[in-house]
Amino acid sequence: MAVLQFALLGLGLGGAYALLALGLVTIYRGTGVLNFSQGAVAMICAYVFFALRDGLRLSTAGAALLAAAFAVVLGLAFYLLVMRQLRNSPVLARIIATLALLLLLQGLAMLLFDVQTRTPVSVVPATPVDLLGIAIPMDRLILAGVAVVLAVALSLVSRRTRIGLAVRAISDSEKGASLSGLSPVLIGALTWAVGFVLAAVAGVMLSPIAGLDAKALTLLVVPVFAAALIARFTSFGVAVAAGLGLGMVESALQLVTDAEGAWYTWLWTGPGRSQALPALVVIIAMIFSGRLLPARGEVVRGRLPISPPPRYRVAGPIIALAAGLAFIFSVRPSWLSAGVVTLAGVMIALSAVLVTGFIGQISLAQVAFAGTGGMLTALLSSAGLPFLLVLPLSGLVAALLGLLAGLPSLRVRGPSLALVTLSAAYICQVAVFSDGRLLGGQGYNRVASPALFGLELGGTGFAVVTLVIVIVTGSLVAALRVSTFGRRALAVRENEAAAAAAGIDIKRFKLAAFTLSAFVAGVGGSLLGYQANVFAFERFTIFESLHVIAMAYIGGIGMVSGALFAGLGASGGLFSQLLATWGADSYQLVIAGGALLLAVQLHPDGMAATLHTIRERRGRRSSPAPAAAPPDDGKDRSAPAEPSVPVK
Amino acid sequence: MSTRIRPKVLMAGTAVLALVLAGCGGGDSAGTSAGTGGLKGDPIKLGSILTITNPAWSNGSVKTVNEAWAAHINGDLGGIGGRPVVVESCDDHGDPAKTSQCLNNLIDSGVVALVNNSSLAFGANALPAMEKAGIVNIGGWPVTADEYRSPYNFPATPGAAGSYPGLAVYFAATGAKKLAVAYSNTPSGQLVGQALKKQWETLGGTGYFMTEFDAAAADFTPTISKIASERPDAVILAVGEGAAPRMFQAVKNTGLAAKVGVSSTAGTQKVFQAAGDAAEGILYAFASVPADYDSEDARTYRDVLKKYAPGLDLTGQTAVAASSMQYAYDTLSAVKGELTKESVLATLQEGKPWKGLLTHGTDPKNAPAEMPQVTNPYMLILEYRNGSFVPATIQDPGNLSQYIDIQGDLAWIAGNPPKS
Amino acid sequence: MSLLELDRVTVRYGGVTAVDSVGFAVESGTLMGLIGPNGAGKTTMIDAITGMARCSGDIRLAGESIASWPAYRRSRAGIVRTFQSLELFMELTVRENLQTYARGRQADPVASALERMDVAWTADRYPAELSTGTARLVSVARALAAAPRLLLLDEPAAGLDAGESRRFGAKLRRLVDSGVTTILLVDHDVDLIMNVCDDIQVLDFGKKIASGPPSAVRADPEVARAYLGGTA
Repeated sequence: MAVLQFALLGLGLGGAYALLALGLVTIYRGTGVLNFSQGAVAMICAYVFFALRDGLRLSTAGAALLAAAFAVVLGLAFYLLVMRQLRNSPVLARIIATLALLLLLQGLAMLLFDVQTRTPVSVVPATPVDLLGIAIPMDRLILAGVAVVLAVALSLVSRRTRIGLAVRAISDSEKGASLSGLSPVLIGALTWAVGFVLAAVAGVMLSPIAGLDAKALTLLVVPVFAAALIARFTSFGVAVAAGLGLGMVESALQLVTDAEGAWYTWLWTGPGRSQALPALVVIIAMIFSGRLLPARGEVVRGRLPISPPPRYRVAGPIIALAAGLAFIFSVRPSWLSAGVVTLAGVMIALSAVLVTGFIGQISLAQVAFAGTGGMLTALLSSAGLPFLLVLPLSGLVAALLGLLAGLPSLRVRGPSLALVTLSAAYICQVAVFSDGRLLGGQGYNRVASPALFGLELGGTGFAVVTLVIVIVTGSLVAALRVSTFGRRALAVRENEAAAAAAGIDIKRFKLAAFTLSAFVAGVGGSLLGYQANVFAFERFTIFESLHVIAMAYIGGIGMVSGALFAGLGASGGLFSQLLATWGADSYQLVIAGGALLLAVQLHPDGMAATLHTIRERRGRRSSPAPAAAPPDDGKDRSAPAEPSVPVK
Repeated sequence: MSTRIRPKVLMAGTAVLALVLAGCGGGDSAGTSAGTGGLKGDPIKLGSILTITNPAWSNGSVKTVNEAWAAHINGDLGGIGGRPVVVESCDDHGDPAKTSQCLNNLIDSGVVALVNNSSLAFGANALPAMEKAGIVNIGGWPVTADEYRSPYNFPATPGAAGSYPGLAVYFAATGAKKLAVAYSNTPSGQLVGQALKKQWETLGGTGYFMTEFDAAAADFTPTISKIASERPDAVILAVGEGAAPRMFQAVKNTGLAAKVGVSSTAGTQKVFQAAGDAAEGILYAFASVPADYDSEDARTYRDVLKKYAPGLDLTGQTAVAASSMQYAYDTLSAVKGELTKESVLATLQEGKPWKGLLTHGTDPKNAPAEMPQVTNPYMLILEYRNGSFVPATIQDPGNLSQYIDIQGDLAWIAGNPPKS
Repeated sequence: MSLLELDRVTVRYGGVTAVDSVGFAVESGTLMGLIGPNGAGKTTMIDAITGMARCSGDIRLAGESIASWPAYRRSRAGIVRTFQSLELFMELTVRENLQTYARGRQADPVASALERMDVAWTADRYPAELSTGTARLVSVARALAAAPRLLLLDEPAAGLDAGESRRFGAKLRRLVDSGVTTILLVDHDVDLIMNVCDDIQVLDFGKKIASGPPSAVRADPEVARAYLGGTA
């Protein structure tokens, strides 16, 4: 089949990318936010539309109007209630807010609608049209056409109207623009409303082609970001062209990715290779161009979540050990398993604390590192290696991956780095972890039961070992914070120029951070593998990564206690077990998303930090510090101590 | 500050709402059967791990059949030794973390066996834990390789392993030479592709083409076009219920002329409604006879479900579920002495054949060599015509007679032939 | 051999030449001043010397060419700077700020640096709690904690009144005379520069227009023209 013909068949997919990318670019231009939830918004608006049209039997026009109104209200609400409050917050907070919306919308969809994939009847005709000898359903072509038309419309509005000018002005400098009489609030609200309506159009047009369910559209986030990135998040036309292009290339790639061959062809043949392409594009483009995201005029030097020196560095581990042992030996096996999963989750969250909390590098790939550890564990334990050897070896291989993932951090930072790490995690998810050939051809790999010094570790035995490992790691991380490393880490995190001037080798530092963090995450993934006796590759998805960082953020990403909170909220962990006991586990996503949205505004430093601040304030109230002025000790600082040097 | 009060009010409101919903939402994941039929003894607890709220697969109807058949056992068959049977179903959402959680909770609540496991995530994630706990699964729809071999798994039908090989045998027996296969890009999907390739050669086929698709892809037209260009005589699509309508439409749009075969999971009303006439002529591999079949078993099946689950759409899935429940009932009734997970395992390990209900019978001593737990490897090929299923016939099995067991008007096909 | 030698150093940003073929030498144990009107390229000069701006030409530290070295390496070699905007680490205490820079063979580089700038009392405070003037002194102390061979000060006296400025100058003079370090001082305050520096370089539009001891520079008509737009 000619490559060109195959590429044309990719117009359906490309149209999807293009429409969603348009919304992304609109929102970034107006408010400087990377909206990770664009796909989720498309999904829920589609659900609303089809519920109105097919469920309540409204006319197509009526349903469309109401669905658009829904999108507008959702966009306005999200902007005014959440994003507006965060406009001076660090970039990580804003990323987390969009992630929270993603979780919330997915949870709501699963609660309110029947989430089984269904194929609603298309809004536009779908009869096949003959193009270059291939039958292409008309709706794909219409979809691509709509994307192009919308891009043109948006470009015209941007260049020819006052509103468009206002948006461009605000992109450059919010302060400057507001001084000239333009209301940033109005612009922001408009931007989000338009962005969400664009998502709604994408969702409604795509569902008949791609199927409507709670996950499909949400998952398109990586390829859509690739398209928007190529457009530098500024040009509508390029975003559509890039989206269509990526879809067509992905489709054309299917020609080669299927072929079977020798081992070196594994690089491009096999599962997920064509989907991994957009992610690869993101990574390569970022590395070679340095900064593709245009910086916004307002210098948001928002403070990162605080990372106070940990207290209770001796009492903490002892209490944790005591509480943990009491828990292990008193609960039923189902709670014990949940407890071990929580402990592994704490490990993975500790890795996030290391790389993001301490050193300020936003990494969304932590769970991919854990997955690498898990995969190695399956391979090594099946080869007969003992538990004590497999654990650190898995960590080491994960550390190597972390080193690789750290390389982009030398070129990019902030949301750009978030995107790159997310892309790397996506590649792991679709092309590495699910590749049956790497797993030994069984489809998945069993992990042998862990044994220590010849004795097989039962449920409680393994739990005790895990508890010890996690407590030791937590103590080491806390110790790092108060060491020279920790001081330097905070310096690098806050101000790279000043840190370089201090003689800190920033590059080596960042790489070390990623490597160390990946090692810890790898061990966490290994522990998960031993707990389940299997490498459950479906557990190590990008959504888990987003989940971990979101949970760590709520807990306090700069603090070891924050990692504890994240572990509790991990899927399959103690909080999830609690919900399951109450029969409310289907509410987990909604609760997590809602809690995140609130936490990111009320506790921008995390819950653990809030407790810390409360304690500090109470301490200060009882012994007020003197004003910061030179002490009055009679020493005359106005005159030099030595005779003044004669002026030359 | 007015902007500060709002978030606090929101937080309080959300917390209250969450608690209220949590309180009202009880019983979602742990559904118990209500119909104990007035029996007084200590209930026999069975567990069932299902994937219900997941885009790709929904086994909500299995849960309904679990409860309905349990009510039937208790109300009409007098329970087991005078004790009522209670089935606790757990929805794992297809989520690996949740599937382990379901298993652990069921074990904790004291089930003696699992029944009817039909989960996307179970085989790959929680099966080892089930074996470690010494609990068996009776019936259900096996999907992964380990489920066909685990000494603790006792399905009554071949599951996914039977659907596609069975279709291959049917195509070979009806003269197809070139076969094309599309499978999902997951490890189990890849296995299907590989296994079919080997099998097609064994069956005497001369051409084989396989291609991958992503179940979450936005468009299947590229995949089907690729297949169409290979001009196969027959096509097997390893696709689930969610993606089936779009697959069928892609087949129609590309004008693919070959016969298309899929598994029974894609044979539901939802698919037919969404696919419209694109589903005409599609061949389905069912493990069971059609719901409207004329036999005593089928009549019992229809009557029981009418009584205890009126309004339930009868599909291949519900038939397998009913068959599995009956298998469980017959097995547990045959246990000598006290009912524990060990005694249940021992009874099943005796390897006595079971006559089947709506399905072909089981013959444990003669299970296919590569899948020792698939004691019933037989499937029926049904063609979808004008809104109902018609059994497809095989005129002359030829040299493939070892695969085919003809009983009356039903041609049961074993994709992996039994040992003898 | 001079401590620092600049040889036809040029810095270009896009189409603009911020520093144009500037060359001079700083002798060890002296206080060199660098002045010029706004936009003359003074801060860019510091950026080039410390490795924070790419330049052509050569830069030599004690005879060794460091033009290709990254910023952190130059810092470790003894070239330490302060920033016009201070760039103190707000999340660390003053002591911790100095600890990140601390190097050298003395017993307690942090304490002695704080002492030298008379800000020992700020040690456990956070930078946000300090007045601007005190913060400026802290930023100089921080650079001192690294035991620099060459200390580059970027507008350290901005916002100080006449008296404070004099005292500050005296401190700098003491540092140089007691052999603690060599200083390159960039500032707007012409009086301060004239009073404490041994030698002065004058930049205008990126070019060096005058150099020499204060008396010579004071009398140079080019300098007057650059600052006032006419002959003195």
